[in-house]
Amino acid sequence: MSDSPRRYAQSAALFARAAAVVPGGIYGHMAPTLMVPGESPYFAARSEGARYWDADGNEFLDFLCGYGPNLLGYGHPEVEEAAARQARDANCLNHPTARFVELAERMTALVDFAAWAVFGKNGADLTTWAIQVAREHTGRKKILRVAGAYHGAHAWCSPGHGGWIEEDRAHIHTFPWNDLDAFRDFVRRHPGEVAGVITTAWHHPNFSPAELPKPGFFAGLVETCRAEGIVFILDDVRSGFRLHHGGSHRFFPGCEPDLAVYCKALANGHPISAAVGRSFLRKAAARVFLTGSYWNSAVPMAAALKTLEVAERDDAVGRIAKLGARFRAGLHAAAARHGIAASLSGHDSMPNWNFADDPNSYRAQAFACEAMRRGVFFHPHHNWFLCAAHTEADIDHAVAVADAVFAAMNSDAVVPAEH
Amino acid sequence: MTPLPPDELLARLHLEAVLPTLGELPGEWTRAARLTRRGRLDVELRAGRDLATRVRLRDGLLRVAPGGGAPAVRLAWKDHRSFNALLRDERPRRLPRVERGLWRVPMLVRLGRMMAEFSAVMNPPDAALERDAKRARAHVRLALNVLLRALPILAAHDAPTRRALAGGPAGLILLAVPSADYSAWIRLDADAASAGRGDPPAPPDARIIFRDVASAARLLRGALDPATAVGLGWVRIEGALLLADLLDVLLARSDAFLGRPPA
Ligand SMILES: Cc1ncc(COP(=O)(O)O)c(C=O)c1O
Repeated sequence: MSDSPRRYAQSAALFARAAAVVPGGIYGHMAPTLMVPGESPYFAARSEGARYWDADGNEFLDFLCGYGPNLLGYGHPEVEEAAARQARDANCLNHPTARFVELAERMTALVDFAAWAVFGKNGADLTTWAIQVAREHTGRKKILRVAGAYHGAHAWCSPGHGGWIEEDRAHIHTFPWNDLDAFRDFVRRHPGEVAGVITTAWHHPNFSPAELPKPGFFAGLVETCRAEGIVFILDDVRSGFRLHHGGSHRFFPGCEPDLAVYCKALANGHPISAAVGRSFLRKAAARVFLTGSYWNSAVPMAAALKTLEVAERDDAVGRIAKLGARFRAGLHAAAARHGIAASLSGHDSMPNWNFADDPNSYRAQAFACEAMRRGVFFHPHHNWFLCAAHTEADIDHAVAVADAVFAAMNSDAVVPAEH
Repeated sequence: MTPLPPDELLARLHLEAVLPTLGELPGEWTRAARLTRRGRLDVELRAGRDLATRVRLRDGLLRVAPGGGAPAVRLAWKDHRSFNALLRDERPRRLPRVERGLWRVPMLVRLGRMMAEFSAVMNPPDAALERDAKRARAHVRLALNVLLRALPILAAHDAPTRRALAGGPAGLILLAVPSADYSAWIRLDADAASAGRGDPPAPPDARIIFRDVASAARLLRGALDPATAVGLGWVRIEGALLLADLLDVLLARSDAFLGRPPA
């Protein structure tokens, strides 16, 4: 891994071609605008374990993990072998395969409260479906969600400015994370109107530090939901199976959802999402039409079965937690050594890294650029991810790179790269 | 502040954002400077009953602003829509009534020539911008000036702009085109926007820097969306991305009113 400045000529050339034929060039969360344009790759070419190579051949030790799907390491041999084996037999047919049943059985065994499971492709397929189920079950309209939380790119929740109308959100209401009083107040003011509440396991917004649930937050939320017949939906799309093999709710006392949605880490990069629920929601779940051209494809299901098996067998969660603690300690010590006020927040398996007094992310951007030049991929605005393919040596290397970047930041040696 | 009907809002943008920029044309464009060296001009343009501005040239100084006694000439359009049609160069032309100074034909001719120069800088064919660096520079500087004037008006009277501002972050943005010697600032708040030329009054929360005049011209003319322009390196954004994202929404609103229809 060299420390030489990176060059992104191929990325730039591909982007120029994309710009001619794709609105925005690259849209959504991978859009260059959300990184530091010109200072990070736009296109990837190859990956292995905890590393990837961009279109120009630059190698990165990766702390974004494809925004979460990489749990066991890119191209995990056992998962890929299971997927390939399944692909030889069948993938997208007239019917589901036995993998469909096996995976539903596996999910309901794995998640303690789950009586049933369904599958989609992306997180938002099922966060959206989950609120439909809550409405169907309760016969009510209103959905509460936490302000600033991400649940997908659908009209009811997209953070984008375009493509939705006020009516799409007429019954979607927000309350601040951890603010039990605000939640209860809304419920009190709308008796018998709230169908469901959807939250993540902790608050991990872009651009700002993460916030873990306050003691009593989930317990209080669940208490109100039970008393008022409100469906509690846990959006575990991003964090599911990184904190606990049985789902993130197991990690946070009092967090007892009625319905949970999983996606990213479920099949180590193969396209599949899942929702599981308590038995009282089964009828409503059966009544809300759910399907998609590829939603019953067998290959991602085989990959999910293998991912869950390997993750449990190899204690991926425990391994990531240990690496995460090492990473936290190392980064904090390095920052302190250079007198830099910055900290990791959230859970160690997918921490947010923020500098103090950096409301506009200037320092975060400078930090990420410098780290990328040294071959370590840290996102400037989004939470990071650790995976089971990271090694202690990788963590130590990343900390050493951060240490060098802190030194450079202190000496004002941080200069913009040439594209 | 109240949302205005689209025609009225557009007339207002024409009168309070576009036309005042005509006053800056002589400083940017030699042919316009020549036109203003001699002669006099005092024409009020009135759209509907309530909106008006006045183009005045005296002692070589061109100014566009409302008010100030009886004008030498008054051109009045019966409603906002027919006034807008003129500035959008729509056919058939809807001619105004000349309410005062019908006999001051030379003044009207001078105004017509000035407007033609203005249009040559503000709405030139793409090819002219590509090969004429001076025109491109003037175009970028004046188009940005229009924008600086348009944003506070949209923030006050355009419902989608107001909704975006209310839901977005507040902050100060630096906008710069170093190769055109241009810098400006825009302040976005929950219920208003303000803007001005020169250095921002405080350290900016976000910096938006255009790589060169040609890129700025293409972007301002809607040849490309801002996200693609950023990816291509035409524009650099640093700092508060959500603030820059909010400005993008406002630019789209400005473009919806003042931009050219897509090819
Ligand atoms: C917490 C959370 N919910 C929902 C989603 C939406 O998932 P998808 O992008 O797969 O639709 C995401 C995606 O990042 C997420 O992080």
